[in-house]
Amino acid sequence: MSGHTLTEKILAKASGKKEVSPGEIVIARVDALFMHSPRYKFKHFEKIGGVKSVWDGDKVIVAVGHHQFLPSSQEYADAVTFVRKECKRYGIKHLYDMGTGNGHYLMLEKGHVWPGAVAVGSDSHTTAYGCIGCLASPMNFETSEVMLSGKAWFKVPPTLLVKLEGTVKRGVSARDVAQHVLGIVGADGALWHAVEFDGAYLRRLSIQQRMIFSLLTTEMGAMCGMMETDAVTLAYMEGRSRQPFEPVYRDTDARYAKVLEIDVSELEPQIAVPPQPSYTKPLADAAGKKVQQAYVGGCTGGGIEDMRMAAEVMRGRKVHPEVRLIVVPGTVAVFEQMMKEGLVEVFTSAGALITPPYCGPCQMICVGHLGEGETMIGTHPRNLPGRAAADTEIYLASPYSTAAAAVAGEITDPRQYL
Amino acid sequence: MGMTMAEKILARQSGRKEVRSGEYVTAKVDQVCIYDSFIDIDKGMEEAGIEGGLQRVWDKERVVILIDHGAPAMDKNVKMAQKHVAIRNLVKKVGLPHFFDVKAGICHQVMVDKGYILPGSFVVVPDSHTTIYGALNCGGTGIGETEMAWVLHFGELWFQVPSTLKVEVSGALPDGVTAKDIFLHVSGTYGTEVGQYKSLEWTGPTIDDLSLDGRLCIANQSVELGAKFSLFQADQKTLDFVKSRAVRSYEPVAPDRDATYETTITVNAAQLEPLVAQPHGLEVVHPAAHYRQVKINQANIGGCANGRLEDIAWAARIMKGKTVHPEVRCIVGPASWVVYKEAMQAGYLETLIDAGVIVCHPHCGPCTGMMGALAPGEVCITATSRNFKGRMGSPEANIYLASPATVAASALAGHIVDPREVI
Amino acid sequence: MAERIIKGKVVKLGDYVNTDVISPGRWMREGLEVLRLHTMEAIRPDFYKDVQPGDILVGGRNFGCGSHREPATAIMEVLGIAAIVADSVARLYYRNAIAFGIPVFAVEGISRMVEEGEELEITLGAERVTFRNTTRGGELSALPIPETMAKVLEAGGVYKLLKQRLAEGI
Repeated sequence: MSGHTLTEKILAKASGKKEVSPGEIVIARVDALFMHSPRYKFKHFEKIGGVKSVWDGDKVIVAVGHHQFLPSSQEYADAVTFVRKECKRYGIKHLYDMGTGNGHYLMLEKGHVWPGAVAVGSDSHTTAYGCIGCLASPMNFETSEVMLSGKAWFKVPPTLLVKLEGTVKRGVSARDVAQHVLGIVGADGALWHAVEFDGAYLRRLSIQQRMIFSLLTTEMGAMCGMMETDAVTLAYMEGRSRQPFEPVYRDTDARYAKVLEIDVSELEPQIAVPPQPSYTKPLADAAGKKVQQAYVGGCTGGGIEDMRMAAEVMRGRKVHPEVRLIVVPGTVAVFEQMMKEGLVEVFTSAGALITPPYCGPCQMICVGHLGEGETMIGTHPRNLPGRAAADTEIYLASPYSTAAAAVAGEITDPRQYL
Repeated sequence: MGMTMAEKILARQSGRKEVRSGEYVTAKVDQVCIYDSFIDIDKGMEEAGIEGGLQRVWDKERVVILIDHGAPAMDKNVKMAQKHVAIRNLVKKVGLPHFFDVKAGICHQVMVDKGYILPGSFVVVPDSHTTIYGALNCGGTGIGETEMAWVLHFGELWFQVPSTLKVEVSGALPDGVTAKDIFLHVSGTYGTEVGQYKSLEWTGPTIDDLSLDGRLCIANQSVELGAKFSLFQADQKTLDFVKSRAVRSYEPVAPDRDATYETTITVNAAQLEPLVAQPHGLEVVHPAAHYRQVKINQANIGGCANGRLEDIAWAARIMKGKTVHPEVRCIVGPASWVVYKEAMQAGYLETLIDAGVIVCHPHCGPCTGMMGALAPGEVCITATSRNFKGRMGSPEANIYLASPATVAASALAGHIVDPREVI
Repeated sequence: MAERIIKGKVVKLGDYVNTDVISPGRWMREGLEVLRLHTMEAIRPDFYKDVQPGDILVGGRNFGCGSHREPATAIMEVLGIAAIVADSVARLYYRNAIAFGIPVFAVEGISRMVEEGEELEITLGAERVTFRNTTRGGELSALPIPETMAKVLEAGGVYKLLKQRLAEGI
């Protein structure tokens, strides 16, 4: 009998089984449920009637400030007021209100997930929490069921293992590597799979940088994207977890559907070109493309390390007159840290706009909407057409590259500014 | 016979030695600023059958264009972003060098920051709060976009010379009582028509002691008294502020000793308390303590009325080491990036973020309800400029208007509170 | 100004009708046709249903106070309001109405002289403007609109005057 992957072991434990294999359907207990727009789920509860409370108020997290730092429409203001009331009504203990930030960062920052936990979220980027060895998977309307039962069904996925080795060049960041991986695997390359990451390069990354990899697995069609717990994870979780946890480790003889080994040493800055996050190209291929808006933020670019990278490029420089640079801290803690480190000063001196924390103009909700014919480069995870006006182009890149484009007015190699 | 400041400004601008209140003059304009509605002028001209719309202005150096109401383009609706693209194209077409896009902040603060507002000058903007410039001894008054089309072509517009209401303020403001409370005292005591069509002149030792931020607040709010101008004399504070940034030369105005005033109001600042105007206007005003039982959901500080360093300093002073009440959303929006930076360097923004305040980028959103709209039944206390029914969202929301100190204290308490309880 | 008579049914509002109420921010962005449905909503829902083209809007104190927003004036044209008469009119609203070519008058006492649904006749004479309640009597008079503003009104508003002036060549 062969050993098991991280995914298989967590699902086994969570469904009370000794072991599980790919293809099996299991029912797993859920340790955390994340939502940002539960309005219609509460309306659904009204319709079915008889709902008294969620299964465990401590395990449901609602972040109404995820998409907007302040309601930018009357509809949203009314919806949030309704959600606040309903959260109280159903005993939901964790409501992150307007201005508190991007829900995915909050889930990690505030210890709502932990190594070995099972988390689901009504947002495709829920895979993010895999970075601490938590099995985190997106689902949407189904979460109304999870809210009541505290359980979710899973089809045990086969696992794709991605091993990242080597050291990146200066000016090449975790985003470039993650983008490269996404490009190789492709938009459906991990369909119905779990993705697990390992390798010397990966183990040197901070939790926040690992989060980028976990998060982007959703753009590969993956069900989850995890890393094993290590010293970095344990240091991050110190004093943070809401309950004691027991990390899960993969067996040395675990069986993988596929193993991808990537050496990052020769990697150049990468960029995702329209119309898909998986359309990864060397940044040089897109150089010269004029941009009107640049955005540092989002769940793959709103952390303090991302801000430091962008600030490195911006320091002493000015945003190009024809460009709007919007900087969006991921959470209040990130915003505070940016202030302390003088990064806010760097950005404001450069002529950038800094908004309160939220997820940013990734979906063109709140502020930063593009007009027809405009082009944006950003550190966020998704550039699908229709996210903005029909005739716009969105490029995805590292904080270095995004800041560089903001200075130059066009896509350009950031290393000239470092 | 001598002239008031308004008479002197309009005399100078219309090339006359002397003018009297009641007369109609055609006055040259020194400076204009137009924000998001700039594109409406081009559209209005086209709709009126003027081919090519707006093609030129009378003097490119005297026109500032920026985007502040919907900055950066908001909502999941491409219309606003489209409007911004159209504004940028229009600015290029006409060739206007002074364009700040979404990147500088709220128009009136940007104009002041960047030295376009000068003592003795005459400025019009398609915005009611243009009276704000009076704080820097500048005759500022609001017009509409349609009339602005005329000004853009000819650099002048017709005005009636207003009579002047003098407001004499003496007595030391007690701690916790601010310039905003002086204004609320006037609107609460004399009503919102006391300055209708008039020029206001603010004088007295209290006014002399007021910071420029305080004067800007009073001048800004004066439009709610019906005022055409709200003028302060230029003193050392004004001149020191202006000299390092003035875009052109200027000559302050002061009223003649024998100028004629229609009425004089006196205010004893030493007897003032923190005041609150209740929904839905600025006429019914009571001391903050009177409203202690009013629970709030949102607290706003910012806008062109109270988005300056002194206002943010009040919030930081009151909120230092404390936290916003869990059921309250507190928004602080510096009025421009210059103010944002100053507030940050002073440590105020960090204090506010630590307290759980939503520190916004400079834009007009929260004042107008375009950002942070109120749901039916909600209550907001604000240090922005207006509390009319439905202004900030639902007509079934209630808005109370007060000073930044009162708003900050209330944000901590979860209900309206006299700030002197916490300072 | 040439003598002219404006006659119409009175639609009456109270004191301090401000421009946030006339033109709510939320609907202002959606264009005048949508705004029309929400004009005065906070104080009189479905106001647009009560208004017929040719009606005269009568207000109390400080009509049009508040923000300068032009849709609050433009909407009068869309509703077909023939004239606005109030006990007092806010300065900026007055300017904007004239700039749009909408006759506007501040006449102390008008709100006590007419009621909703009655007929008001405004005669613009050379020396005076008279306001007559033709339904149950009552008359007020005021000074004529000053010549400077009258010229704008006669041209049909500032854009029309601008068109004329540009056509003449500057």
